[in-house]
Amino acid sequence: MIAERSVRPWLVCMLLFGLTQHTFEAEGHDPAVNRHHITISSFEFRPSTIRARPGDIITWRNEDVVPHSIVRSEDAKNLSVVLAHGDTFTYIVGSTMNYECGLHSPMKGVVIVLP
Amino acid sequence: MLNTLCTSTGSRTSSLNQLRSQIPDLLKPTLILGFVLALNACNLNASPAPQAELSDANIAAIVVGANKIDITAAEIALARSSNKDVIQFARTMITDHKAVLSSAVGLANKLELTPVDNELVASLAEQSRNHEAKLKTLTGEEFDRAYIDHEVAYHRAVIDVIESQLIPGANNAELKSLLTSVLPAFRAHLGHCEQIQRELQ
Repeated sequence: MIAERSVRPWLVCMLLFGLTQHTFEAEGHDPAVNRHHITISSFEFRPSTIRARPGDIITWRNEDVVPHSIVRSEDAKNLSVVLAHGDTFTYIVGSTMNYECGLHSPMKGVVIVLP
Repeated sequence: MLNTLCTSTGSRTSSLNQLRSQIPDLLKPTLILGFVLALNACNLNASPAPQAELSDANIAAIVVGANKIDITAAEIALARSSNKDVIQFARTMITDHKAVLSSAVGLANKLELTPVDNELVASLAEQSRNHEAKLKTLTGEEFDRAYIDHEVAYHRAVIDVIESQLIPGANNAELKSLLTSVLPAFRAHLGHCEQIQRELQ
């Protein structure tokens, strides 16, 4: 019984350490994951072409005064909600896709997945 | 018609400069307003007055008024049009101009700029009421063409006056930055309504 009690703090510590590690990785600090940043500015996605690997993380940030959104062109699926000025949207790369703004269709971009 | 009258303003510059010197100072604000509105081809042809005549409070009033006008016109379009392209365009106008309006009002509050309820704003309101009244008498394709033709002329004129008058005339850096940042939106709107205009012809 005494032995069990003395072990518990260590178990708690290990558990907390494990959770911390998990959170750390979930926040994208895994060095194997590349992060890509796209700025929405002056009605353009900058850069408009991203080359990424599956699992990479892309973040769009809307710097325009007017709202924009991210819609996959192939099936018109809304990937993001409407992004107001200053809002960001994060997406984990799966496969190659063309995308556009759901509110201003001339705004287009592409994510090319590398082998 | 209005669209045709709003094109090719560059060739008039020299004669308008001569005209400008003959215009009584009291009339210049009205000419600026006409330029913004593009509701009257004669006013649109008149060159804008010197920049110094626009205070930041004047500019704030113009920005707020111009956005409200386009929102109201778009709301009429949503109520009266059945053309999906026109409806989509009107929705975009409401979304975007509300965002610009919100930014402009927020900045005006931050800068403690009270948009001046002056001759410009009064004329702006009156001319927009006339346009709205006209739109409310039209239906079907006639409505769609009138709305879109006006949007094309309106956005051309607004872009022109922002570039040539409001940005150079703004004293406050944040106001100047806001005006600069809305230009791409207005250019995109112009491209959008010009495309619809071609399809309606």
